[in-house]
Amino acid sequence: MIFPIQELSIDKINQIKTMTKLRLLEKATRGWQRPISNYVIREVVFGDSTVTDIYDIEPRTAVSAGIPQWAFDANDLTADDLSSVVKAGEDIDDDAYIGFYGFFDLGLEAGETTGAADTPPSNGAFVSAKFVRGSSDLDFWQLEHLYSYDYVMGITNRPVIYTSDEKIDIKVCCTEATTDKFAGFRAYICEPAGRNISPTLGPELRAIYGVDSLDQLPLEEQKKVAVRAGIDPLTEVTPAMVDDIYNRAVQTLYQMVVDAGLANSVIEAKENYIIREAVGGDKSDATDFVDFDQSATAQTTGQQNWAQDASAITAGDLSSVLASGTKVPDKKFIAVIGFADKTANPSLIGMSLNDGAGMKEFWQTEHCYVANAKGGGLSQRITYFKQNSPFDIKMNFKVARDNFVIPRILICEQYGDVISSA
Amino acid sequence: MLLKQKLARLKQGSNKRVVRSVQRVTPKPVVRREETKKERAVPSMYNLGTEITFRD
Repeated sequence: MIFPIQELSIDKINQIKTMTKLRLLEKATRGWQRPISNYVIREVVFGDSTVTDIYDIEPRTAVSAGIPQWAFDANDLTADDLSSVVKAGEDIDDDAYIGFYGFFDLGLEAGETTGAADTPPSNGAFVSAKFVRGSSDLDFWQLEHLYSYDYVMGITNRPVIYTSDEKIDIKVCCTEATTDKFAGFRAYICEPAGRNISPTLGPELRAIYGVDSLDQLPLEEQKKVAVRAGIDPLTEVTPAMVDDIYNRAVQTLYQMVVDAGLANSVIEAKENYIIREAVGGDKSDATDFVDFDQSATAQTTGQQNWAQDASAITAGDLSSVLASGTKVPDKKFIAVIGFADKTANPSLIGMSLNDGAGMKEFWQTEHCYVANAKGGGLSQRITYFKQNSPFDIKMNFKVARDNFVIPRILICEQYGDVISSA
Repeated sequence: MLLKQKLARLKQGSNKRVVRSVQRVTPKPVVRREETKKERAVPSMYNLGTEITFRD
């Protein structure tokens, strides 16, 4: 069964998401026999083989080649028939585990992330979906009842799980087949840590649990940490969850000050350091101050706000939106907890956080634009960067034009840098 | 071991066993019942309303 998300409590939605993640971890670790720390969870990416960055499942026909997005090409659809939308013979990557737990439709007016003021595709045409594994029909969702509500998102209480190397097909039925459908599935993938991302769990493990690695925690605590993954739409986080994110970030940032040898204790760190939101912009021309310089060309000269100039963006690619060689300033520490988007008709589909060694975090963000066209999300898995660490944010937009995406970053710095001590 | 000693031990043991079995059996169900009540009183994140199952 699949429920309109409006008919579920936030607790229930999070319970389903958490249990899906646990199921994937259980499969990956062979019933908790392998170390949980060997695996990470993130959102599934639907994209063809010409995608430059991450893609997990290939469409039969890509609506736009090279753009990793949830979309179904009209060429693959036959009206009133369940039609395969996944590449023939597609299988799950080796040692990867995928769980589908919901559906969303971005094709409604103001919802589709086209990045341009075009005519919305016909809406309400989506009827049903079927998950196929080889010759087995794993599940079937009739989706029409989701369209009673202002935005279309469904969550199932019977997630569909695919295991490493299994054959996968998804069939969808629509009442018409002349326009591409900008709809997709809520899904998580569990894969080996380091294959695509290497989250920065260390600082928080030291600050919150007093251990250096996940393996040192009791199994149940390991599970709690490991299921903090993905980017949650703002409509799916409770005030308690936000409080938990900020609390962990603050405790960890102060511990990082201590770990760097800049204070003898967290108490001393709190006496000398303060935390605020980080500012992006045109560092060389700003009247006041900017923490992180946004790419070679400023969207507006002297900007003291987060904005991505079109010249920095390659549509469909994770494009660096900070100036080349950006580092976290000396004696400063940052925690990245999510993003907001002020762009009119936005087109952000993916975002990554990187240091000198590679990708620490990746969020596929499409599902964060369903309930609210402006979009935004928070991640329970916080990404930390210490002083002098190389730091880059990459964003994947469907259209290379100016955007106004705000990474939600907390920066810990000494009193006197920006805010005086008294 | 002498047969006499064996018999003496068996005799002692059998007497003790009766006592022990009474002591062991009685408290255990009480503890279990309390734990069950606690679990029901505080629903965990795995147990909220409509059952969640998986198709795998």
